[in-house]
Formats: sequence, C-alpha cells, structure tokens
Amino acid sequence: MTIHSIFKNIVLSTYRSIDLKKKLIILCIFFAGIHTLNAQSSQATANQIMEKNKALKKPNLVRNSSVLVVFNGLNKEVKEFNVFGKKYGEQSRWRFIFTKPTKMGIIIWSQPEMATIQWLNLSGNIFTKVASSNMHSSFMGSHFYLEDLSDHYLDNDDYRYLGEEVVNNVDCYKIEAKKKKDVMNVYEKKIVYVRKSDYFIIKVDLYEKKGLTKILTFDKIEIIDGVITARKIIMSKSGVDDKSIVYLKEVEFNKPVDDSLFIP
Amino acid sequence: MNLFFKVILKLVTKRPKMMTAGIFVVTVFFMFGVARLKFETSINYLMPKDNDIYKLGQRADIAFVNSESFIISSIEAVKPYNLFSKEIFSKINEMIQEIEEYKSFDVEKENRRIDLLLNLSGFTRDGVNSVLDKSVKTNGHASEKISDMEAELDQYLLEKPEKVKSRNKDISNILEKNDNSSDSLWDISNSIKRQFEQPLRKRQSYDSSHYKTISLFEIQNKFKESRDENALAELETILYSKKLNVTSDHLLTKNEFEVLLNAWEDIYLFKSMEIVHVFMNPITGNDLIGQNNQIKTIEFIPINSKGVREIPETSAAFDSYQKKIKVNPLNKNFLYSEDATGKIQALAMSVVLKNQESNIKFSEYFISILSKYNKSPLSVNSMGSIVLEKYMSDYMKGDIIKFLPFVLIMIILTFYLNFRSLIGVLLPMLTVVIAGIWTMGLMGFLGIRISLAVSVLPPILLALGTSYSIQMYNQFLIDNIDLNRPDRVEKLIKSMEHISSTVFFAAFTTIISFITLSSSQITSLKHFGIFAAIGAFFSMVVALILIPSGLILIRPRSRTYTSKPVNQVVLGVVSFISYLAQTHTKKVAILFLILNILGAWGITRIKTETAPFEGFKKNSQVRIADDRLNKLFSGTINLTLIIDSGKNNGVLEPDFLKWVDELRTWLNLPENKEKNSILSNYAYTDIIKRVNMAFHSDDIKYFSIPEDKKTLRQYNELLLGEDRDLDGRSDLLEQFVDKDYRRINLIIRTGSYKDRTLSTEGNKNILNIVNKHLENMENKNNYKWFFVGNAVNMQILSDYIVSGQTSNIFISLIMIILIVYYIFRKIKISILSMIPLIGGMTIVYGIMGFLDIPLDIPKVILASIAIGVGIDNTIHFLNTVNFQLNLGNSLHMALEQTYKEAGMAIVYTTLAIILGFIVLIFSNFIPIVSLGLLVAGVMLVTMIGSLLFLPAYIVLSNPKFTITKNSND
Repeated sequence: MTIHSIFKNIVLSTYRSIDLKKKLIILCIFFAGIHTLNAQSSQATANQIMEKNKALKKPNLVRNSSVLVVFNGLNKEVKEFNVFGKKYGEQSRWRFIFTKPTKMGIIIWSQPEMATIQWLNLSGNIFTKVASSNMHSSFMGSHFYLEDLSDHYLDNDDYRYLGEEVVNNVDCYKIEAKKKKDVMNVYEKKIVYVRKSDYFIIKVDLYEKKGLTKILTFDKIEIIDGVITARKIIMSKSGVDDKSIVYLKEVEFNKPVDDSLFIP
Repeated sequence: MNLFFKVILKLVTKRPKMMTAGIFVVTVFFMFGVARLKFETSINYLMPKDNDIYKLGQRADIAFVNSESFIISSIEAVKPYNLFSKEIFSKINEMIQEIEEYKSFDVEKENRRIDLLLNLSGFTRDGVNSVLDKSVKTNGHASEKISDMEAELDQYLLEKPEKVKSRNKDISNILEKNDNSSDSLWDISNSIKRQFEQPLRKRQSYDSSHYKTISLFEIQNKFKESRDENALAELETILYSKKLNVTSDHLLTKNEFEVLLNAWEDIYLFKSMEIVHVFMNPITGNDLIGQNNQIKTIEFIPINSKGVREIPETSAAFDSYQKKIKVNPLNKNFLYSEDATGKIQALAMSVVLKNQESNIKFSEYFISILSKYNKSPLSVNSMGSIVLEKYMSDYMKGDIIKFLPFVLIMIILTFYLNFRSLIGVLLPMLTVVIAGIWTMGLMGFLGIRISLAVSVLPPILLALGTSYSIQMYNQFLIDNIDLNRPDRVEKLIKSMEHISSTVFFAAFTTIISFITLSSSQITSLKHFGIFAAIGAFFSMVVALILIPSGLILIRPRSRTYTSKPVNQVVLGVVSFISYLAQTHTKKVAILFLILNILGAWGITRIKTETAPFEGFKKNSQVRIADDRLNKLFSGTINLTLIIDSGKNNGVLEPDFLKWVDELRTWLNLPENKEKNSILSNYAYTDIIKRVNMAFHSDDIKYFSIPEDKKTLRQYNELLLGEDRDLDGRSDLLEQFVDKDYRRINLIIRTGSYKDRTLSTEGNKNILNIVNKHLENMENKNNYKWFFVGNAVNMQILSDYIVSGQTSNIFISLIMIILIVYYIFRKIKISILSMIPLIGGMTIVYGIMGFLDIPLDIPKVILASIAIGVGIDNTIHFLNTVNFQLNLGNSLHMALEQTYKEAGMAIVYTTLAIILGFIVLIFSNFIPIVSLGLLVAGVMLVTMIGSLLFLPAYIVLSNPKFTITKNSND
C-alpha cells in the first residue's frame, strides 16, 4: 500500500463518518479553496507574463517618422507625422508633429498613478489642453482614441491568465487585463495576446462598457537597436473592415531629442 | 358564365357542410395572419422608392447619419415651481440619466439587471443565446481591395528602397488605384443596401416554468439595495408603457412578469445598439470654453470626484449655470428659450437616433420615458418625426379598435332594417366578417403594414361585403324559395345563379377600380388598391359560398322570408325618385348638367395636402406639443439642404463656409420666419464659428468663419467629442458634414408659426424661395445643392397624389366602360353607365373645392370607392332594366319594376355603405373624418345618379338593350 492510498483511505473513512449536510459544507470549502488557489495561481502566472513583457528592453529616446492610413468605409485618408519621445524618470513625454495634410501637433505627458495630460498644438504656438472627458475622442480622424496614445501601466489592471492561443500562427499567452475600479480609462478590459517566444504583445482585444469595440494588432515586428519594434500597428473596428494603420517608416532609438519639444 | 356559377352553386348546395367547414378552417388560418399585422406611419414608408429625390434622401441618411430620426423636447416647470431649483433639476437629471443609457451601453450592468430579475422570479434563459456576435462583417470585394492596398503599402513604406519595385509611386497612387470613394454613394443609378444598426446579441427567450410569484416591491427593493436608480426608472417606464397599473405590493402574475421581462429584453437590445446617436441636453451636454490661448471642453453640470453629477442647489449656482449655457450663441433656441425679458423660460433636449428599419417599437419605450416625466412639477412636450410616427400609429390603432364595433353595429342595423330576421342578420354578417379576416390575414402573412390609407380598409371591406350579401340574400327572398320542399336545391341554385352574375360584375368592377391604385407610386395607396381588390374578391367568394350553403344548412322557415316587410319610407323615396325621373325627365337632365358644371368649377379650386400636422385635430396632444415646441424652440420639421463644395475637403475652404454662412444670414431674416415659416437652421459653420470664438477667449466678435484655410483645417482636427461609432468624426459632427468633407448638411427647421400650420403649399413655398435665393447668390465656385428630408418628401407625395389621382380615374372609367360594353354590347349603354359615376365624383370633388377640403393621401381612394361601389348600383339597375325588357315589358314598365326590385336593394346597399363609412367621423385624423363624410356623400350622389339621373337619360336617349333569352350573362 502506497502512502497516497493510505492517506486516501483515512480521508475517505473520515468523510464517510460525517453527515450529509456537513459533507456538503466540506465539499464547498474544498472546491472554493481549489478555485481560490487556481485563481491565485492564474493571477500569478498572468502577472509574471506581464512583468516579463514590461521587462523587455525599452528605449529612453525615440524618434520616428510615421504614416497613418485610415480606411473608413469607402474613404481612405493618409496623414504623415513625426514622433519624438523621451523618458524623464517615471514620466514619459511624447510629441507628435503632423506634417500632412494639416500641420499641428500633440504633446503627451504620461506618468504612473496620474492622469495622462495631453495638449493639442496649433499654428501660432497655440496649445489646447485636452480635457480628460475627451479621451474618448478620435485621434486625428482615425480609429485610435486619444486615450490610445497614453502609456499603459501594469498597476492599472488586474490580470488573469486565460490560457494559450495561436494568433497568426504564433503561440501566445492569453491574458485578461481588467481595469481596476479607481482607474480612469475608456477600456473596461483588454484581452492581451503575449508572444511566448519573447513576451512581446502582438494583439489586444479592447473592450469598452458595451463590449468588444476594437482590436489592436502589432505586425511587421523587427528588432531595432535591441528593441523589439512593431513597424505596423493596426487598430481595427470590431465587426467591420474599417481600420487605421500606423506605419513606422523610419525609427531611431536613443538618439538625442530636444527637451523643448515636450513643453507646451 | 352562368355555367360556371351553376357548377359552383351545385357543389356548394350539394356539400354545404364541407364548404362551410372549409370557409371556417381558412378563416382560422388567416386569423394568425391578422395577429401578425403591424403599423407603419413613417413618411419614408409612403415614399415612391424609385423617385430620384427619395433615393438621394436615402443616401443623405447614410452620409450624414439619420438626421431625420430626431426628437426634440421642451422642458418647463409647471406653476408654481421654479425651473432653476434643485427639485426640478433633479427630476430633469433622472430623465436624462435614463436616456443616457440608450447612448452608452454597459453590458455588465445590463446583464446584472436581467440576472437579478431572473433570480427573483425563477425564470431562466431558454437555451444559450447570450453570446455576442463578434464575427467580422466583411464587405466582400471592398475587403479584398483593402487587403491588396495594405500589401502594397507594407512594401512601399516598410521595405528598403532598393527592394521596392515601384518606387516612383506615392501613397496616394496606391490608395487611389481602384478608388471608388464616396461618389458612388451619391450615384443614384447604383443600388444601395441600407445598413441598420443591429443589437449585440439575438433576442433571448425565457423559460417561465419555474416562476415563483413575486411582488413589484421585491423587484424595486432589490434595485434599491444595489443602488441602481436607473433600473428603478426603467422599471417604471415599462410599467407605464405596458399600462401595468399596479401598486408596489401587487403580486405579479406569471403573464405580467413575462410582459415585464420581455419589455426589459426589448430595452436591453435597443440599449445594446446604442440607439441614441446624439443626445444634446442641458445636464450632460458640454461646450468649449476658451481662455488664455487654451480651450477646453466643460460639462454643463460636471461629475464630482465621487462620480456623482452635482446638481446646483443655490440660486448663485443656478446663475452660474445659466451664464455657462448662455456663452455659446448656438444654445439659444436650441438648448434654452428666453421670454421677452431675456429670462430662460424653458430648456430643451434633442435626440438623433441611429438608422432603424422602423422606429415604432423603440418609440413606445422612449416616449414613455418622456411622458412619464410630463407631470407636475415638469412639463415635457416632445415632437419630431419619431414622436409624430408614434402618435399616428397609436391613433390608427385607436381608430381601428373604434371603427370595427361601430361598423358592425351599423351593418347589423342595415341588415335588420332590410331583412328583419335573425338569419337575415347573422348570415350576411358572418360573410362580411370572414372576408375581412381573410384580407387582413393575408396582409399579415405577406408582411404588409397598416399605413394611413390602409387603415380605412377594414370598414371598406365590411361595407363591400355587405353590398354583396344584401344582393344575394335579397334575391333569395324575392324568389320566395321554400327550403323545406324537396326541390329546394334546384330552386336555390336557380335563384342564386340569377344574382351571382350581378354580384360577380359588381365585384369585378370594384376590383378594377381598386386595382388601378396598385400602379400608385405611393406605397400606402398601392397596398390599399391591391388589398381592397383582393378584399372585394374574397367578399364575393365568401358570399357566393356561405350564403347558399348557410341557407341549405339552416333552412329558415318560409314565413320568415315570404312576408318580407317593405319599409314604407324607403318605398316612398324610391317611388318619388321614379316619378321625378320619368315625368320631369328634361328638368332632371338639365339639373344634372348644372350640378356637373358647378362641380367642375369647384374641382379647379382643390388643393393637395400632405403636411402631417394638418391631419390632427387642433386640441390633439400632437398639435399642442407641436405648437409649444414651435413657440419655444423654432421648428419641428426638417428640410435638409445638401450643399456640395465640388471636391473632397472642399468644406474646409473658408470661401465655401462663408458662402454657406451668407445663405444662413438670409435664412435667419425675421421676414423668413414671419412670412415663410423658416424658423431656424443648423450647420457645420456653427461649430467652426464656435471654435473660432473659443480660440479668441470667447469674444463674440469672433463667432465667425476664420479667414485662412490652415486655421480652418486645424480647428477641424480639434473638433473633439465622442466618436462612439469609430468613424473618425465626433458623433455630433456626423449630422453636418460627410466623411469626405465635400458636402454639408444644412438643416432648416420649419413648422407652425403663431397660428399658421405648415401646409403643403407653405412647404412648397419654402422650397421655392430658398431655391430661388440660392440661384441668385453669387456662385463663382459653382457649388451645387439639392433638398432632401421629410419636407421635400411631403412635396413629392403631393405631386404623386395629383398625377396618380388623374390617371387612376381615367383608367378606371375606361375599364368600366369596357366591362359595361361586355355586359350589354351597346356603346350607348356604356356611356350612360358613366352618368352616376361622373356625376358623383364631379359633384363631391366640387364640394371639396368649395369647402376647402384638401386632397390628401386617404382621399385619393375616394374616386376608387365612388367608381368601384357606384358602378355596382348602376350595373344592378341596368341589368334589371334589361331583364325586365327581356320579359317583354315596355321601357316604362321595365323601369317601374326595376325601381321596385333593384331600386330598393340599391337604397339599402347604399345605406349600408354610408353607415359603414360614416363611422370614420370618429377618427383621430381629420383626413379620415372628411373621407368618411365624402364617401357617404359620393355614395348618396351615385345612388341618386343611378336612380334619378341614369333613368332620366335612359328615357331621353331610349337606348336599345340587348334582348336575349338570358340577359344576365
């Protein structure tokens, strides 16, 4: 007789001696315990995966020249812009300068545990602060919200491991990221697909209060100066063909960027 | 022909039980169809689908969302309450929060509510049906094109230059290849498929087998526990809309709970569509403010850090609120209305809905929300296309419920007066009811909706059926058949055969006159024509089967029919008419000519009318609400003026916007309001001007179009606002500018002004003067424009009414002449048969002209009824004269006998039809009321035409009738 079978016999004989009501209570506690353990372990797994994603190499300085193509029903629109980014400790600052068809810009300051601040920059050096209620507005007529330009912080969401899934022939971890109660965000939850090979996120299903609204896909992934970079970022509207694509035409990391660019 | 009827009648009399049972089985089947009938009151439904302006209107709905589907509500405080008090604003806030849920769907919250109802009641979800449909709806060919372009863009933008084969291309080359842009949308030769908003999931059905009785209080309590105020409000709305007048302690029956849950499900699905596309209101609404080179969006009543909207409490807070909403010049007469002293007397909210196939079901709930709050301390008046459609639908339902019992009582009365026996009432009565059920049931199965003209079909069907039944039953009485004798079947067949051809031709001519309406471009009239014709056919078939088989089965005793009493009054009237026609023949003929000349003069004065408000009584809720809204907020009918700049992004040119603004300055002239009912207008320029003002520290001087193109483009990029449908434009903007920024939608609001209701003529005048002004404006950039919307649709309908009416009368008369010729083979008799018809129509239409009764959609059917039913009397009269002449009588004797036989029946059938139609005077719609009176009038005149004028002209012209052995065929 193995130790396992002896243990099993003891447990079963004890169990049989208890009346039915108590048995039910024990069963409930047992399953609740298993469920809690599972939940905790899935949360731990999910957190670990997201931590690994967070740990991926990120540049302190960014410059790129990009093209935004919007497919909207029968309409197609092209906008060209340059992006500059710089890390200031915990805070990251971004400047988008649109060159075609309209010259204007956006400055973004993102910081953990603080609301993102955005300014729109018009000719004549006029700056307009974007109210937090406008984060749901479209970014330059595309399928991106202004909200989508903000940095995303690990602490803003609760994570749950949902399993594994193959996305575009790539093995991925599937993680649910649910917005914490006190966090202001357009999205209620996200389903994040993290590439198993390097923990890089390749797809995000975005859920608002009404359900799944958009799908964000990262494509044409290259390693540039050691940084995993998606050169094609697609934001598709759920359920239809409409989408907006940002192409990172030229990308440079850790090359000097003028601080004055980030001051409104 | 007689052989055919003989065979049918033999079959009917041989197997009366089987035939009767067959009739009842078919009736039960059609009853299911009746249950499927739906009402439709939108102008769009009536519109001719191949009309170019209508097609452009459909495209405008796609390009500019659906600006026609709007509701505007005025919000006032009833005396002695103060509008700007916490009590009033809390109520307004409750109403607005409830409506907001139709704009922003919260799937988890809504699921929780349904779960709570299920847990409380023991109802369960029936099957698994709550999975959201996330499948991508690709647009086939377009989808492939996007993939191709994407592949080229990938190569062009991301590959190293040396690897790209076609480096000389640029991005626009790639995108413009295969480009069909939105021009194809406006090409009306292309067919388009309207996309309607779909709910996030299919309708869930629920299993009620484990229902545990619960009280309303338990539900309310649970929602209170979960602090779900909006759920409580929704519960109240459902109770209101479903007319469940129950107290909190009332224990809900399973049926009551099922009604409640199904309504909850309806609302869930509407909310999941985020059916409210734009919602402007004085609580959650917002505005731009500009200070120190910065602009920001502010909410009129912001949410505090606890997530609660802080309703002002003190007078200082309300003063500050009023200042806030007054900054933007656009808000005046849009969000608030001032009295003569400049004090805000009312607030307003307006809603634009997403495209739906029909708004009726949604409006049931939505209008319940508004009506629920329309009680002290608030006064909420609502108008707009959705509200109007709902009122019309309710009134039509009310009319039908009101008409049917009245018509039945009138018919019973007529049958009783005519036959004075139970069988004489029951048998014809069953016939008309059954034919009515068949017709309405068929409509239900075919998905034909009850629209304005179709709503008068039930009384018409009953009246038609009455005519055929009277003729058949009357013949049975005249022939004095004893149904207890062995030769009863043969005698009955002979008797019925004699009358069948008369009934057949009566039905055939009626069918012809109604079927000509099927060529109408107006959907409602087309449906009326087709189903009135089918109804006439069914009435004939049921009468031909049910009356003989019923007589065989019931075998009424001989004394009930052999001594048929004659109404001495009716007999006296008929005898007097006979005397006039035969002794004052020339005077009667001259009188006919004079009346027709007068009638023709009156016809030249007839006006058409399609404006919806003209159809409602002055004291109706619709007119009261419309008057109030027009007084406070300027206009409830949209005239949509689409202006095309001629190129993509042309809207973003200052020249274009200034041109539009120049037009708007002219539209806003006080004389346009006072003389022409052009009450207000809204356009994209308003928004741009507001942004410009905000960028200049809210200085009103800068409420203008910026001078340079660059600034204009930047302002446009700045137009922030929710983009819930993710099309790249803020939802508010979608009403005013298309995706290409090539065309704008200038919404001109028209409506009643002071005591002047907007009529079709007034509407036509607006179109003409605006068009003329546009043509006279300097237009060096060759901007183009066209009008769409309900105001134009009304005009189109009006034009179709006139053209349709003329051709319909002409074709019907030609057909009738041919039929009469086929019966009598004499052209002279064919022409004589027109006397009662032409006389009836000319005189009654002439009266319409003299009394300023307009020709509207329901009245188009007047001519068909006059011809279709009027010819029955004429044929009946001529046929009997012919029959009597065939018996060898002189013309005088033949006429005398005809008056006795056919004359009496004609008076009774006319009386039945008049009584059937006279009930229409109880309608909620003025056009239907006047239709009832006019049909009664036209029936009376055609009856006089058949009994007085026709015989007078027969005597004068002495035509040769067809003398055959059996003239009835």
